[in-house]
Amino acid sequence: MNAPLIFILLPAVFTPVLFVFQRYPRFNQVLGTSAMLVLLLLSWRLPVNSPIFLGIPGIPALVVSDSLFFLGRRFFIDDSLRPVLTLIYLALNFWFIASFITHIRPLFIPLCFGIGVLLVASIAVDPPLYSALIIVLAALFSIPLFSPPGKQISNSALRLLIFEVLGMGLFLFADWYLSSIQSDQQSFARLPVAFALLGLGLAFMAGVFPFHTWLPMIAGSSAPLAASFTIFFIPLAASITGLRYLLAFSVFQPIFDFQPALRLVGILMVVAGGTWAVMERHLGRIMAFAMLVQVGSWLLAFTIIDQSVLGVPLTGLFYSMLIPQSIALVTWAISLDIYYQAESDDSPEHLQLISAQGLAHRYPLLASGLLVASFALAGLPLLANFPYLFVLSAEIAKSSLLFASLYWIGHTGLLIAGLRTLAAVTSGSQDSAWQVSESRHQVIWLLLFMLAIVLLGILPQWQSFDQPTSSILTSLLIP
Amino acid sequence: MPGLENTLIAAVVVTITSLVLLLSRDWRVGIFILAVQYVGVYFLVSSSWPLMVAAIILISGWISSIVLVMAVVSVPEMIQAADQGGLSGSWRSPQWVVTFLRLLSERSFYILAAFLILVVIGSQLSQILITFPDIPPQHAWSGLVLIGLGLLITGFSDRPLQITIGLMTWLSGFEILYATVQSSLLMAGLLSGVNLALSMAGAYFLLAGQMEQQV
Repeated sequence: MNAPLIFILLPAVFTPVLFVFQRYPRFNQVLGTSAMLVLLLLSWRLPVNSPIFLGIPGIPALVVSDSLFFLGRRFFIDDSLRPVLTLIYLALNFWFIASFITHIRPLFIPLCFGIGVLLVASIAVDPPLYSALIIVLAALFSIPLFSPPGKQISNSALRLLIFEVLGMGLFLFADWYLSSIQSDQQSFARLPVAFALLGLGLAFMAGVFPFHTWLPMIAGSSAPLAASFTIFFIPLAASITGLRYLLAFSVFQPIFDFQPALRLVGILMVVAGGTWAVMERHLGRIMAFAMLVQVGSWLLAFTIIDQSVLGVPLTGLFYSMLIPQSIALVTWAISLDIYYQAESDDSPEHLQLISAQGLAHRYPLLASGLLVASFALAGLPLLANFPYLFVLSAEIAKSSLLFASLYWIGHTGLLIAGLRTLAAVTSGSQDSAWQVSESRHQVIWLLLFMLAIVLLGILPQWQSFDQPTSSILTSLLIP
Repeated sequence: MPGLENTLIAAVVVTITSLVLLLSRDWRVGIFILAVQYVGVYFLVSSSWPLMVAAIILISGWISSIVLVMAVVSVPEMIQAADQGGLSGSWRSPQWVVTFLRLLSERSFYILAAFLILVVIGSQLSQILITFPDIPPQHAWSGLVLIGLGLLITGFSDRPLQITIGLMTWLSGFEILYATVQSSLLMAGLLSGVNLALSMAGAYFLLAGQMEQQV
């Protein structure tokens, strides 16, 4: 028994079962969500490389090893990677729970489960180069998710396909180039080119500015819940791969400092995302620009260096941000999706601000979910994202006050977009009566998600900023 | 393991096939040439990888081509459009002349772009061979030509089939280059998996509108 078998291979075998049962959506939802919850529990509690005493006389202690060799390469999950898996499974569970709140298409559960498995595989595979190929497979898997059968294919799907494949090619090219670099001074001169290729590959795959166009395109042309899954997990998988490369190349930091470039791109994304969100009139696309700001925050989190280990990025802050971001994004997506099902006639083009006028009168909880989530992602105090943004901006300010200011300007853009949404959903006739049109279980779940956002904001200490992810740090070999 | 002559022939084959893929707009020609291109890629990759592993690339490439063919023949509108798109009718008719001139100007631009790509690769090849002494020149040439022309095919079209073929060409270029660096079964498997998934995505792009709507 080994951890990659439990977290990758068995779920991979289970995914086709979910496809088989897609005709029974409710059963499939229960099956998929239960499996995802089991994986979450296992990643949280199952020790790796330590004896587990079952307490049954005569049965020896069970030891779950950390490695699985598959086709000559290693998949590796040890105790220090488990917290990362727990966070990812928790985030995945939010989307599975969301599937009970709003109407989903039959392929949603199996595709999300399959993408989740591929995401974990991309984190566990060693060396990280293989992650790029696995992420492309995940991206290809996600196309029917946001562009379902029976509808003409949207340009966003083509754009995603092109960018992911181009990004993967650049990853391979960078690796090919890096293979020529030896430990001599002449070879080190080629490092910037290798890093540029790698950065370009990462930019294509993670939707980094200026290759971010597929994010708003998907959110503007698809059902919000499915779109939010794609625009969160594909950039996340690519960002984690980028982080693994950064950790691996931190030994080159004294020779070639790539942190300023990363910081600049991160700030550009935050400012651009915030600015576009202010000008955008489509509710789904505003959500995508908010996500763009979050990807920018991830990149900025990568530039914060751990002072105890020279040149190594402090990964804890990045991982700590995932839960507040994912819970806010999924609340936003659920609220939009309920509105999309109820009033926009299954047409994403109708999710305009102008169409949502007076929404709060008809769907007060839904409107609240939309606003709380957008304010949370904007970093409003007392909401989930604020503590992490505060720490991140304070760290950025240590090196550049200008960048810290720009960082908050980007988030102010999101705040203004949230205020515009507030103005739109509360506008309309003052005489119209307020009524709760959401179903009871939608009300309960929306309240729970909003409560979680507030609780995470006022009680942030339940997550530690300095969770060690030493397995990622130590298990990497320079490709 | 194929000899020098075979890899040289394979390099010529992939250069010609990628040029034809860029210039052709007929789906039948495009997919057939793509399948031929995979034979060239196979010969180049097999000089670095074991034959059986390289065969995975060839077989997955052919299966991908078949998937694309099956998708196209399921879309009657596409076949009709392809039949109408070519030069037809009397060569004296004004329509024939207009179509001929349009195709000529379009293709001239493609030929010029391809020529520029080939010139750039040719001029930089010696530098690349100095940087990467382990890679044979025919591999470097073929890989870079497929990458460059694959990018052109993808960039010059807004049609799903052409874009898929362009991306598969681009990917083949990396397969050739990367085969010289790393020989791994997982790499071969994943590259084949990506190729197949890419062709299935291409097929899905063509067929999604006709599929039964799920509610």
